[in-house]
Amino acid sequence: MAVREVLRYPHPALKQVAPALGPGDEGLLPDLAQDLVDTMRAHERCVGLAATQIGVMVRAVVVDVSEHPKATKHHGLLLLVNPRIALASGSKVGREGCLSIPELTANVRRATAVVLEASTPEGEHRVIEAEGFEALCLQHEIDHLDGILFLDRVDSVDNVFRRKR
Amino acid sequence: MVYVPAAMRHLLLSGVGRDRPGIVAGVTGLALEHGLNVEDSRSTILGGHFTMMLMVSAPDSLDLEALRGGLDETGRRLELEATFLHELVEPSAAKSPDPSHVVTVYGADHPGIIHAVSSVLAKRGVSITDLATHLVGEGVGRPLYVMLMEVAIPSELGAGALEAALAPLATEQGVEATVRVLGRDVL
Repeated sequence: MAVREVLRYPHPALKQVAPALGPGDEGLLPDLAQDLVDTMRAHERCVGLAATQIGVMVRAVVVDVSEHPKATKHHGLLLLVNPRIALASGSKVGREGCLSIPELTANVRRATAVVLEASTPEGEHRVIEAEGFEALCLQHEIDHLDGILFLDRVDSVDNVFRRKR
Repeated sequence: MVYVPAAMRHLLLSGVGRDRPGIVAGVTGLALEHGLNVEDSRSTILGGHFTMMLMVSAPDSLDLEALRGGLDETGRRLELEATFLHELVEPSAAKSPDPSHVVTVYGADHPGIIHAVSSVLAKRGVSITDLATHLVGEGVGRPLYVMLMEVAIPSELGAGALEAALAPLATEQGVEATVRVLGRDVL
């Protein structure tokens, strides 16, 4: 449908908690889902995007790590509505960037495996077991739905870096 | 050989100049000639300038004026904009407290963020042990200011209370402020 503008911090939408998609919001979904995919694919090396990053204040994310060299196991294109992390295990530090803070990257500690509950845009319930890079990306995107940016998860002065141009 | 620490003299040696290969090699070469030992140091690029700050120990026999002359000459040769040398009067300062938490503050850049935050910390007896700031995104709308601090929090204060103390300031300054336990990875 359309490549949308990605909001950059300090846009206030990025620090807000997005409400769940409820009954009556279904009409929003086909376009939103397509816009998320189109916008993600329009940015080189972008592996995920949250609805809040394009200014739509609902709980929906897209993740696709299938083309990324760091990805091991993955589920291809994931479009998730009202995702919820049910279980998280393991812990590992990895370097992250974000289209909403494009000039910086940071080392952030994340769970290495997660079990998610979510709906598809078509309304089907899904349980997804993700690990490695895909799990990391899902946690980053779900953080966006709660107004949490990667800078909020840095745990050392030496863990924030200027992105190389 | 047994290393016997002697009563050493301590000096602060620093320099700043346009980044180019050879600055570290040149300055440490001079240090070696004068028998200096680089103990703690931090060098990085700030705003496109290579900046270095070295805490060095020196033998009692150090000729300070000769070192000063050598540093001037080295600075000229490396086209440094400034060098600085100072012998510390108090060679072994009080033990600094161990950092326990990381304070992260970020928001649209404007004057006064660092002062406002550090004033809140100072008032509550919080000691800043490490501080780094980044200004990014100049030329693409509002520049983003990011400040990261490692701090030692008095045990009676606690991270939650400090975050609560920073909350009104964060609202007033339009920034985000979080307090997290310092990462302590042992591998």
